[in-house]
Amino acid sequence: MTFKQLETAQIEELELMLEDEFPEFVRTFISHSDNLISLMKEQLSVQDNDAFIIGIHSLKGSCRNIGAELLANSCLEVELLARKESILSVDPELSTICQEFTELKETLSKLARI
Amino acid sequence: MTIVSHLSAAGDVMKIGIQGRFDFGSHHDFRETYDKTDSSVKEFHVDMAKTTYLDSSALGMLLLLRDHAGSDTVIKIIICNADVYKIFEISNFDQMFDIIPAS
Amino acid sequence: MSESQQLKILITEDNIADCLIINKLVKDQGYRTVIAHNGLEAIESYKKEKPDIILMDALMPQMDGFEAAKRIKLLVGEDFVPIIFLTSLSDDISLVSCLEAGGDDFLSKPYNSIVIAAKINAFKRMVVLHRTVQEQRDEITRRNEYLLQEQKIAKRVFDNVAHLGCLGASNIKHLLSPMSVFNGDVLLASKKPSGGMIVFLGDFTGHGLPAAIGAMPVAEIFYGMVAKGFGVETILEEINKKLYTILPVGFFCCACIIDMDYSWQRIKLWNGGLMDVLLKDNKGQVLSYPSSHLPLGILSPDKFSSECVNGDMKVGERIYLFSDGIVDLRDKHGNEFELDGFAEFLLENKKPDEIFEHVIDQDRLSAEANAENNDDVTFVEIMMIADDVISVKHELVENSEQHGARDWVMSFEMFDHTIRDFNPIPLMLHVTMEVPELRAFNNDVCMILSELITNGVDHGILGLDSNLKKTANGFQEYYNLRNERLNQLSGESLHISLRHKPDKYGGGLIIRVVDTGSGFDVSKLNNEFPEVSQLSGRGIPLLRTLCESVVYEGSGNTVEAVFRWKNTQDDTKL
Repeated sequence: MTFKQLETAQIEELELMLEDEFPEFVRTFISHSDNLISLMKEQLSVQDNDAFIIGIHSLKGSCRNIGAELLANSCLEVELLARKESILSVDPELSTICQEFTELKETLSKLARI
Repeated sequence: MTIVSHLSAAGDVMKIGIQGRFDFGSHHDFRETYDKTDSSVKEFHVDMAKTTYLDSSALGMLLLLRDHAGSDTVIKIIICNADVYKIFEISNFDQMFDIIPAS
Repeated sequence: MSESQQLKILITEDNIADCLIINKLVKDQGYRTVIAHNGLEAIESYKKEKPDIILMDALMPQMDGFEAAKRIKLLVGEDFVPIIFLTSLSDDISLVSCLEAGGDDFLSKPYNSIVIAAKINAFKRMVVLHRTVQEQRDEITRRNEYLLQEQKIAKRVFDNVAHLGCLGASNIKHLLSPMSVFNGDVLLASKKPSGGMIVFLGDFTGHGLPAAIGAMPVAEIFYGMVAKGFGVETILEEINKKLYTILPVGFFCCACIIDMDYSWQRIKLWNGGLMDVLLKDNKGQVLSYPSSHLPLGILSPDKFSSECVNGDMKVGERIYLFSDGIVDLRDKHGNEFELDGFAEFLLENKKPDEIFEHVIDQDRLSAEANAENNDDVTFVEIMMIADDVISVKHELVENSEQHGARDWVMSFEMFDHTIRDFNPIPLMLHVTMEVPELRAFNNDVCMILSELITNGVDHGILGLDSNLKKTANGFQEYYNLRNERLNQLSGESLHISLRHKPDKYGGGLIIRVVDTGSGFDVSKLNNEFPEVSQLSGRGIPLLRTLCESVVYEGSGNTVEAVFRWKNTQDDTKL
């Protein structure tokens, strides 16, 4: 099953709801998610299992909220891995996630014209 | 406690049946059965054959019926339960109503 | 929280982007929002802001949503603050954890504005309902307290009116155990001016204030009339008339009144609606006086019957009265204390002094075992005693220090039917008691007047022979004849005059009674007290004991009796 990078219906609804605050929102999403990813890499390196899970879970959730299905599911896969096995099984660089996030950033910025 | 009422075809006899406990909680329902009747009702038959319990507020309600009906109207009360009959006996209500023991 | 004051919603979400979204969604629906980013912050926010609804993210750093929810629910106490979990957890187990932590519902990501609106709306209705119920409950509690206070004060007024009298007399034992502050039962007892006592037990329909309020006019009438020397029939008629007027239809008073005559060892009793009154005699038999009338307050004065039953009661015999609460008493095993059971118990019991205590124990046991179903219980035991004679020595007091009616003449004449229908003694006592020093001799004056008038009517005008009263059957015959002749009176009269002549340390009351009878042979008068077993003939010797002089004039249809007294220091009555 393939996922769209950005679910149009969802993001459009958000745009409609947030109106003038939409660009501000996109900026917040991008910077907050950036922070989260950096934090998660740190947590992986010190092997803080619990904190990592909270982080990946949070990123997954906010991706769902904006309709970023592809990234959300990648997060889900990593989250399940961390829960069922351990964070040792997780890619310490979070390559897939970082890659998809970079692409998402571009799409969102264009959408919000920032 | 259930109260049922039935007016005869000719409109001159009103039957009121009381099943279960006849006490303070029965006030509203009992009153509703006779409230709208007028002097065309010549007789009231209060059927207490299935009444299991009676207290002084119930006696009071019967007095209210007597007051509404007037002293010329006949009020018959049919009683089955021994305890209920005893209360009527002690209070001498047979002086005000026709008490008929049911078999 | 008024309608204009919108709901305040606490949003706890660690992801800033998500927080922005949900905050906007909630604000767009017109609610006020407060933000927290983790469990600890949520608890502090709750304490400070007291939100109405909480939206709580499940997984957060510092303290997660579950822990925060548990703690907040403890702080909430008996109020209702719904917690809706925000979660992208999808498995059932996690969802169950939400509810177990005290969550009331959950919202899943992605957020759907319609779902959020619907859920908040539903909880808002519940919150409002809960608050309304609490407010109403508190209001009810407050008003109830207030009413109870008022009742307590009213009870003090009530006690002052209803509990005068001689309930403390040594021959009465009573138990009044009220369920509410007020009792539907009223117990009155008063000494008669002519000696003896009248006891009244009333059981008003219902409980509490409405039941007790009927008792006040009854008490006033009772004590007022007994003190003035009225008989029980008249007292009953007055009480019934009063209650018939003031009580609404459907309310009435089951009652019993007993007139105890110590000198004649007889009782007169009226029972309308109370349980059988039981008399245990000296032979161990139990007699019952059942209810034979409708309760008071039901029949109009013209239909009311004050007809009493007469009976003998010797010294030491006891009579028992109850209100109907007694049949609800249960012993500690939950067995009913039936009236028939009590009659049997009375029959078997060989220790009369313990009977009363036994019933008290039953009452106490019942109250302990079965607080809810108990009714008001009143139980009275009255014992017949011999004449109560009190002799008191007082210092003489000079007349000039006293006030009131002190030198007067009063006369009253009755003809034919008035002789049959009207008892002039209360009227006369009313006047004589205006003489302050005479109040202490209420008893005596009443007896003297009674004897003189009875003699004048029975023997003078009606021509009845007291020899008829030698046998029990004769008594009945006598009274039948008396009634017959009273109804046939024509052209007869009875004239009574009272004259008060004071002297230095007291005074004399001169009573003249003239009847239109044919008189009798004065020389045949019996001046000695008869044998104890004789049923009649005590009248004139009694008069001679009480009066300074009793003189029959002319053909015997005029009598003048003089009652003399010395002023006493203490002439307060009863």
